[in-house]
Amino acid sequence: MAILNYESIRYQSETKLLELAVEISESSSLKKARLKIYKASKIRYFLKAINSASEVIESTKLNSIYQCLQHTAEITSFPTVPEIGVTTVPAILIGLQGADGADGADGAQGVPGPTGPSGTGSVTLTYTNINSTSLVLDTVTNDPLEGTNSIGVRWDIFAQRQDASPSPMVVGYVIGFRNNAGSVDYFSNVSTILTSSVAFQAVASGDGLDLITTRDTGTQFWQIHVKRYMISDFALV
Amino acid sequence: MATEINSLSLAISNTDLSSSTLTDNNSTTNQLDPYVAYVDAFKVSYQSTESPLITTPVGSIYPDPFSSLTASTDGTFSLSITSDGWYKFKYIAVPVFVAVTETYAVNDLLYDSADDNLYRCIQGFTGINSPNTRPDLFAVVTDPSTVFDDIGTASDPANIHYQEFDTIVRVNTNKAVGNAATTAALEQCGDCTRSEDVELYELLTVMLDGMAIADGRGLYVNGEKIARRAERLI
Repeated sequence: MAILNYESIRYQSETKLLELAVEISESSSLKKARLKIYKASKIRYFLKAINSASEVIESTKLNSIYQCLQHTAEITSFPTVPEIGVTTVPAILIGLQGADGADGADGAQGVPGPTGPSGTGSVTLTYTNINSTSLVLDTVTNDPLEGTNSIGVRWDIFAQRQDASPSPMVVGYVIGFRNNAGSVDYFSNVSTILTSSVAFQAVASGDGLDLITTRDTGTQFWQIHVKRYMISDFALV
Repeated sequence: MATEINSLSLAISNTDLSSSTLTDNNSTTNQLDPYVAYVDAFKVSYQSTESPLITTPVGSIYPDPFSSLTASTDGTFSLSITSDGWYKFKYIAVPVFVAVTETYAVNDLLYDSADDNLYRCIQGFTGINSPNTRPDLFAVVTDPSTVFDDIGTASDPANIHYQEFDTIVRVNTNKAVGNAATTAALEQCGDCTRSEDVELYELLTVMLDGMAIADGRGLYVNGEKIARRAERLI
């Protein structure tokens, strides 16, 4: 049995009754409208039964009245639950298992995996709008410079002036290390473009090293990018 | 803006249709107490043409000579209804001037019992000013029926209550159904095909129910059509 929405049927039946009453009223001859009068009366009787006796009629009989009302009022577009047929399982014939087939061709190369994590000991430092004539860019303490597997630190440097066009640049590196006398030292190799006053060097700072930059006096704004690498993992003897 | 209310009801006597009563049940109009009410009543055709009805206020002594609009001090009007169908009532309730300090804004309305006129405020103020003595603050509304057209416009009177009330009257058809049921009940032949009396009864009940459904759903044109057709059967 289909599941019915009683309120919806009641409302649409009243709508149909009103439509028929208007059509009858607009008809020039009541004899010609006789079938409409019969149908409207039928709908009206069903509605009266529902409204008057819905509390005393059994639910199955009440449902029958609603179904008759649905049919009489031609509520054909009423959304009821559709009947879904049972699909039978298809018969599949199974024979004896055959011999294994030949190996297939190699598959295509897979996509590259994700980039691995960065190695340890690499640190990037960025400075912008630097107007100082002397600045400590980085400090390396004594600890990583000591030990049997660490001999120094390398700083890759890129510097560019921000308030000039074309922009003076400095590109290069500085290596700081502990020499055979036990004291710190450094080696640098930088290339300057449109400037000769900017310099980079490593100086002793306690038992460690500082990377510093210096330049001539005057108002100048520089951006400086430094990447630090520890020179280590050598088995010193 | 004017306050829309929903407190009007139409009571129609089954014994004397000519003494039907339109009443404001005062659910919110009491907030204007004291107030005076105006009603513009119409019989509306299925083509939505409005024909004025004559209304008489119950207990009022202030008849308005213009159209059918009259004032009532208790919101009750008697009207003569002779036919079923679509009726429309445009109702406004306006405060009455009393000698206490009040604040009025431009376009506010006020009834002055000193000369039985309806006034519109033309300059806002706070104080005690009788409208009929202050032509600098108030102007006479010569045709109160125009007030309804001002609602929702720049001339909206913010201090009144109003309601546009439509209904499908079906008293005559209802009585005809009773008479037809009585006649049809006298049909003594249980094997006969439906007699004309039974058919008339069923036709009238279909029309009566149709009018009730149209009234409940606000489909007044349909209700009026059915009422006019039923009238020819009664």
